[in-house]
Amino acid sequence: MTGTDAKSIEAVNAVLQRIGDAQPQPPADLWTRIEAAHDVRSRRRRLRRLAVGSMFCVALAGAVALRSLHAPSAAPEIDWQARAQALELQLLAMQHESHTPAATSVAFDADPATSELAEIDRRLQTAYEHKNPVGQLVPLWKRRSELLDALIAARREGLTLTRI
Amino acid sequence: MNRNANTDMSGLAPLTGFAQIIEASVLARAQRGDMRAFATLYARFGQPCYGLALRLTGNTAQAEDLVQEVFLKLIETIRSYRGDAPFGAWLKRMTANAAIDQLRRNKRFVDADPEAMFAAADAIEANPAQKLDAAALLQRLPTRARAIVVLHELEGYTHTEIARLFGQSESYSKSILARGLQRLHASVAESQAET
Repeated sequence: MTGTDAKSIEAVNAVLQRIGDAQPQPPADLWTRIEAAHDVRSRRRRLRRLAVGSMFCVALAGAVALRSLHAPSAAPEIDWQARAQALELQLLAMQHESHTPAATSVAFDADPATSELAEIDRRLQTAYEHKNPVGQLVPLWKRRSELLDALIAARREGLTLTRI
Repeated sequence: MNRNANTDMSGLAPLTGFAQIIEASVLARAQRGDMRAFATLYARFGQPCYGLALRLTGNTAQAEDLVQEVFLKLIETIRSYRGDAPFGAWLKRMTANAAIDQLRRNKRFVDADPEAMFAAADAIEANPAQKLDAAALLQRLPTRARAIVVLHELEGYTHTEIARLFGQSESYSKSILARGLQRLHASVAESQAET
């Protein structure tokens, strides 16, 4: 290493030392600017959250509205089969007490309601034999329940049901 | 003997720059989002942060932007600081990373080819005043070369760390450092010859 090289290295080291030792000061208002930028960011973030929250609420409200449009009846689903069976037992008990003939599959041609009941029983039997889907059975069970309801009400009042 | 938190092991020399120790209570308040605690952190570390940013970028406006970016990030991420490293070291790394990210984002510096980098710096003629000023001598280096010289020679980063920061190989870091120092030698020699 020549004397010039050593001198140059020394000079470079001195330059680096001066740079390392220097303590340049940031502008006096830099922290104020940082605080202001933080406020702006926070406000934007809050607005964004608010917008996202509002959009979520609107979407939720829309979904609920759509659901209620497609399913207007919010009432819980009724098990028409169980209801029909319970009503049938009730009717049988009433008939047993008053010694009147049964109103099930035995044809009561004189009573249109019991005739319809017998007809529904036949259709139900056929539907079960053909393994029809549940969707087709429900209306029959529902109609059976309505008929039994009407029959019970008529029996209570000592009337003969002709039409419901 | 009770040693002041911000003095060295002998208890005499005050700790400066990123070496300063910050009270646990200030950190705890900052982690709870207390802006006054962040103001305290800025009062202690704003200057070293700005100094490092300025040395790495060589530009006051960019250095100010960097400090702002770093402190905004600090406000958002301080909850993740677990105290595994001294706070100053953590902040220093955050500042260096932000500076390198800024350099990498700047399309002018994406071309990492050393030849092109030094040729472009050669094309800029320094004025006589710049030739005498230490910071200006450093500023005459290409941006990446300046950052590598600062990180290695002044901040104590290893070539492995620098290579990771720049997404380059260690030999790239070594090569740029050697050429950067060589350029500094030439600039110093030139300024000495002229004076």
